[in-house]
Amino acid sequence: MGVSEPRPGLLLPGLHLAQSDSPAIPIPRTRAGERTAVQTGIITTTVGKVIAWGRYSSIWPALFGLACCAIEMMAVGNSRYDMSRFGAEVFRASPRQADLMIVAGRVSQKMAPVLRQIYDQMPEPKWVISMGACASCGGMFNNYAIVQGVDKVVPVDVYLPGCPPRPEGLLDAVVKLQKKIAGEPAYLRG
Amino acid sequence: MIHRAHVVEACALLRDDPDGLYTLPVFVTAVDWPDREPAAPRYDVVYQFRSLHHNDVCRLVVQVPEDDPTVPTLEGEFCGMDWHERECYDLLGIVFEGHHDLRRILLPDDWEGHPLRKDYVSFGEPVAFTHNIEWALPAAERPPGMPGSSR
Amino acid sequence: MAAVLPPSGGLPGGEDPFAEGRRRLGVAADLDTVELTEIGEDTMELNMGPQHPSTHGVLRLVLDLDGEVVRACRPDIGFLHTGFEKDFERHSYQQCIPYSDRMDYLAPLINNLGFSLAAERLLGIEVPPRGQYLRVIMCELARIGSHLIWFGTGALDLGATTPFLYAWRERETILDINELVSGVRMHTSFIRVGGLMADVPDEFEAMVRNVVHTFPKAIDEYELLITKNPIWRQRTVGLGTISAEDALAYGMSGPSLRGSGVAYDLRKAQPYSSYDHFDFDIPVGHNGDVYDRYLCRMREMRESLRIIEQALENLPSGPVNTLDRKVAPPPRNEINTSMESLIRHFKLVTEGFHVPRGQVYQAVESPRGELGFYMVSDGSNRPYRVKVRAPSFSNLSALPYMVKGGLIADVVAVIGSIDIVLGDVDR
Ligand code: SF4
Repeated sequence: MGVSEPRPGLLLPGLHLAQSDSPAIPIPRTRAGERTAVQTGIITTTVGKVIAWGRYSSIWPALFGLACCAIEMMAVGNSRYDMSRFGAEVFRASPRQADLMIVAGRVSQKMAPVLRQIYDQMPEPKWVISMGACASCGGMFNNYAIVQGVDKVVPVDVYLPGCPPRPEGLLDAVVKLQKKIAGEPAYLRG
Repeated sequence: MIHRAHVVEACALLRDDPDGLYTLPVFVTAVDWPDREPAAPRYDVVYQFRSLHHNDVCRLVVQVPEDDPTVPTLEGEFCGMDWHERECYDLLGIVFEGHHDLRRILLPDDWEGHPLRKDYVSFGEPVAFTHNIEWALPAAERPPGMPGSSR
Repeated sequence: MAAVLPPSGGLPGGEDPFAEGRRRLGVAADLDTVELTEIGEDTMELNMGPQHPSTHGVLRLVLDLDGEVVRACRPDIGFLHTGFEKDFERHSYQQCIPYSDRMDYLAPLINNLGFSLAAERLLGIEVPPRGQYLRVIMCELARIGSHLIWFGTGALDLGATTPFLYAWRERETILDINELVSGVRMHTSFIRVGGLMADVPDEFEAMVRNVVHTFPKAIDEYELLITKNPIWRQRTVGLGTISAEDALAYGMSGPSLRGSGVAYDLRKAQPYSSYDHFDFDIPVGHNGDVYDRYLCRMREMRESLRIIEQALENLPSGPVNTLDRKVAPPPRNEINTSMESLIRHFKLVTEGFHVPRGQVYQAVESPRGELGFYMVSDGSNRPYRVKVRAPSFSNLSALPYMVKGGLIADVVAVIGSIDIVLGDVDR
């Protein structure tokens, strides 16, 4: 149609709003002559896809900042990198309201039981991003005090290398996790 | 360098003497010299104080032997020494006699050993090179008996 | 007194309604016996942390509460114990620099500086003036960055969200400078033993000038937001008070000590890295409460900007690394042409330099206070022992004293005001 100026009652060029049933405005149809999903209000999909869509579009991470990486995690929540573009900015202080744990930083032997308990307190479905070299494999601290990889304590979905990873890296990890969630059958997790 | 029997006196003097006024406790720690036993005591307990009035620092060293690593506490003189002494006990096993609450501070309560002693092996995981390639194997393929092996 | 409930569900004299379910699950009838213990003397023990948004990391506090009033507070630290001091003993001096970055991760460059200065004193070398000035500029930028984080998170803890967003916006420009000079945003390892990683690129000056010009306005904006804000003042004035004598006895330092009225700043008292060339003031408070510490830090940021401006104006030219070839690697073009230099470079990278026997204590003023490195060398290429005197550690040990008798809601404000970094406390 090539309409660039939005006219009253038009949502997008060629798509009318709900009142399009009124005879004054012609009802657009697709090429094949059917009404669009917006007009009919009906779409067809599978339950699994809808559930996955709900899960991946609004991930709520638990606030689990441990060390230096947590500073970069906070930077991701802030204005320049703005994690809310990916629907994952609602950092929760309580693990019971979260479904993603971003383990940001080195996990000491003293912290490991706490980490596991917080993981257990999160309701299913839950995912874990291990952020930084320390959380992924112990990083440069190959010594007595640091757990050599958080995967010894909790299952990890996305490993994010870097010391600290750049904020773009964390965004990429979240997007990768979203792709993973979208591909998972809904019954796999809780 | 002073004897441990005089530590408390000496520090009180440093703190109160108008020529000293070392009122700020900076730290206490110890250095482990296992190789110099038995010629000299094994541990050097190092105290550091700072005087704001004279803009100066001073360091006291007390040597204690391996079989009796104790020094009197300075908690009564400087309340800021409390945590430093606990840390020194935790990491090096120096016992501060008379400390009101000498527990581990940094490591879990059930930890064994004192990691900053020279004979404490700082474990971790070996880095896999060609001569110890089995460390790069997944758990299921590691030889039986090796740490992390699931066979 | 201990009240013991009957085996759960056991209605007095009646049927156990859960017997069937218990039989199916295979649970013994007395398994869920609950023991209720009365808490003595009307105090309640509350556990705060280690995973708590307002403890700035993984600090755990055990609070004894009488209603809303804190009767006692027992900090439990060590949840981020990383074993830095052991790792220092296993690495050569230059390899220790990246470790020192990660201790106080809000101002990594100042850790680098402390470690480098200690090693340089043992080696008996001096860094050329240009290197010293660039070190000062980078450290003051790091100090501002660290204070910005303190400002943002401290205000966030008390419910002000806007400062958090503003402060991080400004901090990004400092991180851009870090990235320009070293390629990394946070853990730059830019300051090395014997000088710097490299000289700064040409754009450096313009970017730092930009910071010097825009930041005063930004700080004005922050102050406009909360300095006179009645809610902020109600939550900070007169809280967490500590007198100068007590603060000294606890070994506090930095802005937390200066808030109590002690004008002690290592940059002035024992100048290192040519801090004595610059003209700046030491802001001090009077009451030693949360609000005064806040004001001190805000003014300190402005003083840091002054230092940066002067250092940039008078930036000398010349080399940034010491000319002592036993420590500093030879320049790149020499490695290409001279076999000698190639061998020396190889030796320096693989083995490192040997440091004469001795011990030294070098303190620098970090954003949190006196950061000291006590370094013992036995003449080899690795430190024999490095003890880090962490400012947050001593400052935190005064926390029980400061929060005692206050309200539980103010504990958060006091923690924010002493600006601890758990990586620094636990090491
Ligand atoms: S990976 Fe690096 S930045 Fe992250 S916690 Fe470990 S040391 Fe810090």
